[in-house]
Amino acid sequence: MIRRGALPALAGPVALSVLAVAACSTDVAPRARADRISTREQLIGGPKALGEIGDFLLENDRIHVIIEDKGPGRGTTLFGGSLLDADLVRPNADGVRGNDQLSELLPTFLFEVIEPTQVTVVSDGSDGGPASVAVRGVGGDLIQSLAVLNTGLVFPPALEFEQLYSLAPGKSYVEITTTITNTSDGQHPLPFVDPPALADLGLDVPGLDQLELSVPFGHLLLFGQEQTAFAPGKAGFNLRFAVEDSYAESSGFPAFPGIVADFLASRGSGVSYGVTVPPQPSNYPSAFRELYQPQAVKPTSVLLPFVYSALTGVYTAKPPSVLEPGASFSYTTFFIIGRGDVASVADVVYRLQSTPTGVLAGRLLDAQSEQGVATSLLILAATGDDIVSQVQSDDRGAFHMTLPPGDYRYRVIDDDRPPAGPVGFTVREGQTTSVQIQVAAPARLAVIARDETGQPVPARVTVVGDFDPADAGRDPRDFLYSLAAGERTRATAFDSTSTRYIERMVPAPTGRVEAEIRPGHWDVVVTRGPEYQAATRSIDVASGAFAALDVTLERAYATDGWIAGDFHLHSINSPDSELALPDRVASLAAEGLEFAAATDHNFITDYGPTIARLGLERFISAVPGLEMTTFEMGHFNGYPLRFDPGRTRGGVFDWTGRTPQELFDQLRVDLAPTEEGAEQPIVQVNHPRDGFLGYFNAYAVDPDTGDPGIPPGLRGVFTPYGDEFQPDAFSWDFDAYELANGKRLEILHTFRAPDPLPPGDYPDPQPVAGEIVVDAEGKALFPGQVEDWFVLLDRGLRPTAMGNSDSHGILFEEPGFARSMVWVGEGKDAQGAFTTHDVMAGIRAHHVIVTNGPFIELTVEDQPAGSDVSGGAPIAKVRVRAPDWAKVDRLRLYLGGQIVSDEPIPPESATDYEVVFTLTPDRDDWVVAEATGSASMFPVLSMREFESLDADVILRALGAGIDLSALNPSGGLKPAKTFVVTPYAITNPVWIDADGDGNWEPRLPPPPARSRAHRDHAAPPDVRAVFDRLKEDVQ
Amino acid sequence: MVAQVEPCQLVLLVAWFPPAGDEADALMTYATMGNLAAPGTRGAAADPTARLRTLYAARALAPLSIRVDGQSMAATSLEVKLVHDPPSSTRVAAVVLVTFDLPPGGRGVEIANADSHRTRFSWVDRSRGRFVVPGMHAGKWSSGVASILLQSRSGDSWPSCHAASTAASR
Repeated sequence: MIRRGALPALAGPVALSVLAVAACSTDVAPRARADRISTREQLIGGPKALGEIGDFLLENDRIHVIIEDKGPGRGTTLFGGSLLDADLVRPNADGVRGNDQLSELLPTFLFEVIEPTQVTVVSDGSDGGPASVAVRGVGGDLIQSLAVLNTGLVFPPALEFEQLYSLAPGKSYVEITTTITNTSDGQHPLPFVDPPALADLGLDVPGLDQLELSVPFGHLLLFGQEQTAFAPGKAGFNLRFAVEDSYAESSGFPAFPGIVADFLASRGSGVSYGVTVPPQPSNYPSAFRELYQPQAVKPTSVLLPFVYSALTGVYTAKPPSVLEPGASFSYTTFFIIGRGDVASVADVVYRLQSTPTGVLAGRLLDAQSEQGVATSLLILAATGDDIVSQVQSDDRGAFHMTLPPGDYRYRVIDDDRPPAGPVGFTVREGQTTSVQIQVAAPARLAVIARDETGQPVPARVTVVGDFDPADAGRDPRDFLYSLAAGERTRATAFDSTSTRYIERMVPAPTGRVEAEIRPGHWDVVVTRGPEYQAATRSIDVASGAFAALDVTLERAYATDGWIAGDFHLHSINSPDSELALPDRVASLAAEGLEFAAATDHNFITDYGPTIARLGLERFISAVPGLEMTTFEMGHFNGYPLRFDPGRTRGGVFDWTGRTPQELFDQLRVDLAPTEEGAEQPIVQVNHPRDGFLGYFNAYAVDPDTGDPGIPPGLRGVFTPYGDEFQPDAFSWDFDAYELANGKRLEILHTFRAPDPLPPGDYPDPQPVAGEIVVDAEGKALFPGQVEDWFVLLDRGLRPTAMGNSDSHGILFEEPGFARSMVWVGEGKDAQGAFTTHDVMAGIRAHHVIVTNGPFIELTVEDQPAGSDVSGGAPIAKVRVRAPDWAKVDRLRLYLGGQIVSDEPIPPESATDYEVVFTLTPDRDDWVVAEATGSASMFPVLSMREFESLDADVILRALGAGIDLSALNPSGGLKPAKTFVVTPYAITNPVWIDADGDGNWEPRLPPPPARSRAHRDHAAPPDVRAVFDRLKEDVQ
Repeated sequence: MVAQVEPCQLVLLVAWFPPAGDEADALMTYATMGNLAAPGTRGAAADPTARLRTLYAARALAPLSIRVDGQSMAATSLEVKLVHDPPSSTRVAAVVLVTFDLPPGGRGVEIANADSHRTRFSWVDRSRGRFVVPGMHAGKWSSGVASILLQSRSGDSWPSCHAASTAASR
């Protein structure tokens, strides 16, 4: 039931709660202050807090923010000077209990950023006026690969940059004034060169003489993953896809592609953020109003050109076409901090833009209990699809927001309750419209999961439903859920003949779980990783009703002596993960994982205390680790590492401007645990062929030789230029190689052209159906991680192949898929029986099986994978076992990179298959076994339904206006990024000394000798000389 | 901390990192609060960096005591450098080089560390093998070492500095 009325008609409790929401101001006298942080109590704290002593604090009676000191970036980007932490001022704040959920905010000039040389307090606020902090510096390349554009269009060497953050008393926004100054004696055009001159810089693409370019200025806003970005209009909360879809409708340069919005905002738990601008003559979208049609452009519009993971570009200003000598150009931006919803940000936007408003206020009540409901209310335009705003009700169901006068509709958006609305309402200027909204109660589900002994064990509960068959084959975003409205994504079977979808995934870490679900008919699927069969029960639950299940899981196969590990995991300490540590640990236990390495992006995390607090020590153990995350060099894990709880990021390290070897040394030596007998960390190269994020791609590693190089042609232009990126800086000094990353089946093997070949115009050399797609030099254009690893083995290197999930969440990134089964010793595969040393020793000895379901064992002469054997005709045995939901149907055996057996597995042996081979190596060699299945693993696993976020989106944005087809010499023929996820497993090698001379000779020449004498092992030099060489840098 | 044994001297190289928490806050406040020296104060006392250098050196060396045959030794020289570690970060560390003369006729040098749980320790032999530390190889790092005893390899007292230098130079 829904009621509407004027304010005098409000019921008592409604009026009180509305007043409570409205009365957010405090009695504290307005003030503002800027200061250098000298105590930890001045820090903000919260899930994404990275502020440190030495940074700069801006605070008033409402909000506080931290601006990072100069030096290497502590957030995601390269340099200091960013607005790093931001939160509302909260009672009892002590530097720890804040709620910062902002990753970073920094100015950008096309793709150039500021490399600060000075950060200072300009005004400390003691005069009662605004307090301000200035960041001054020179230009820095955030992405070296795009340096050709920065140099050609911005030419930063002749510019000085300043970012002035000001906070006035009583305001809940920071006013940011960004200024560039021409420091040269000559005019500084913007763009600096005419587009045809870009050819001289290497950007020789068709149509340059016809090209007209602009140089957008603005900000990069990195919301923490807890925040969901929002833009009013059709995009709503569906920013990523809306921006990417906009490229197809772009009019092309000089208007940079993207969506135009009135403002950018976000929602999150207890805090939200927003960006808007005042009307300025330099407003970027306004300068190209006609080219952005049919998008509406206002003098206060912002352009959102790309969204990548937590990073959102916000272009707002177009500089003058010429900057005279000594002249400056400034633009203003407002950074707003809200209470957790879009509405509290929009309230400030309306005030800043002097937009007249009225009020919508009221309560949301549960229809069954009549208790208040904390949920989301979406505000839509009176007609059409445009989303205007979103307000969050508090625990008592109360909400309050301002809106410009007009007619609207609202919808209650609650993922676990039946949908409600839309309902129309009207807002009048200066008046309050009140509503009381009843929402249907959710159903409840309780599950107990037991193992074969009857004991409750950690498990995962997946609630699976069916949608209307009439919608089969349609994009689920169009009918099953609305990303624009902020609804949860429901994973489908990614099969046009199926109507199945996953409504919810819930970990049951102790074997018991209770959860709210939408009323309906559901299949409840209980799983516990690949070592157990899936158990399915059907339920029908009505609104407000309750269903309970007691499920005993059946073991699929025994893995005596092996433990299940995942050595690449993210949590809330990564900017692109919102998973709190208890939820992360619970999810690991639920998937049957027994060992984990916490590897957040540039953050050392320790799961140990959380495991203890959840009482899961019987099931899982973990070590602190780190994913050293560079912008353009790749990602590298180290584990176990020393965790320093006194450091904001759990330790002190720096990835900027370092060579790979320096990164490896930091992981292996500088961050090594110091306790006696501690393990030296393992260095693991992650997803080496994952596009922009892959180490082997960053160094253009030759798929045939394993040698680094420089990509030819235009790809070489979009390549980092720093010394650390030169081929001779490449290092092979890693211990482990992430062969399987999550569900990225498409980068496992070298890409072959589909058979039959899709019709189309392909550049030479013409692709051949079923054959590897190659470039003009005959090199594979999309090398596979398996084949790359084979080349490393052929060169005599022995990195251990690993399988990890790289999970940042739960649905779509289920932890433990893929995983590494590690041999820890007979009878030791129980918590307390094995040690961290056993796990690390297993990895170093290559006793690891890579899998997302099947369990594949290889022995040669009865010696397991990782062994060295000798003899001319050794006997190899392979056994593959699998749960019913991960059946295998093919087995391959590789000898020295060549397939020596490729045979189907009979259906009757799809869950247990054993075969014996007699090998006949004609030289020293190695052998690996690989098993695959072709059936979908849904609903135990969600499918690759959407393309993963890819930094290439920035190039795609550029590609909407520039012909960058030369970057894709395959002519669009490339691995599919969406697909059905199928079973996969591969062993580590057994090395065969065929001639029995006791010396294993590699097939290919080994890489150049590199120092593996880590600093820790080297004899310390003369300490007097060390001291003399040390340059004191504290003045 | 690295202890380097030379024919005539014991040299300690100590890298000291301020701990996290209140103690670090107090130190950083001390470093950044500006000149609180009395009016007219000049020189090092008025220089916050110099005061921080002195304070950090004192903190670095406070847990250490050096004894030869049970007799406390006084340092013969002390140098301090303040560095950002890692470079360009805001974390300031002190690196201290302190030397002790080894008196002739001694039999053992004891290096005691009251803060052993936070210290990684190694020792370097630049005395041509005339000293040993029982149970600890030169050049290897150890943690939690509360005390070590440098002994003459021969078991006897070590010769005079001049004699040792002469022997070492042959």
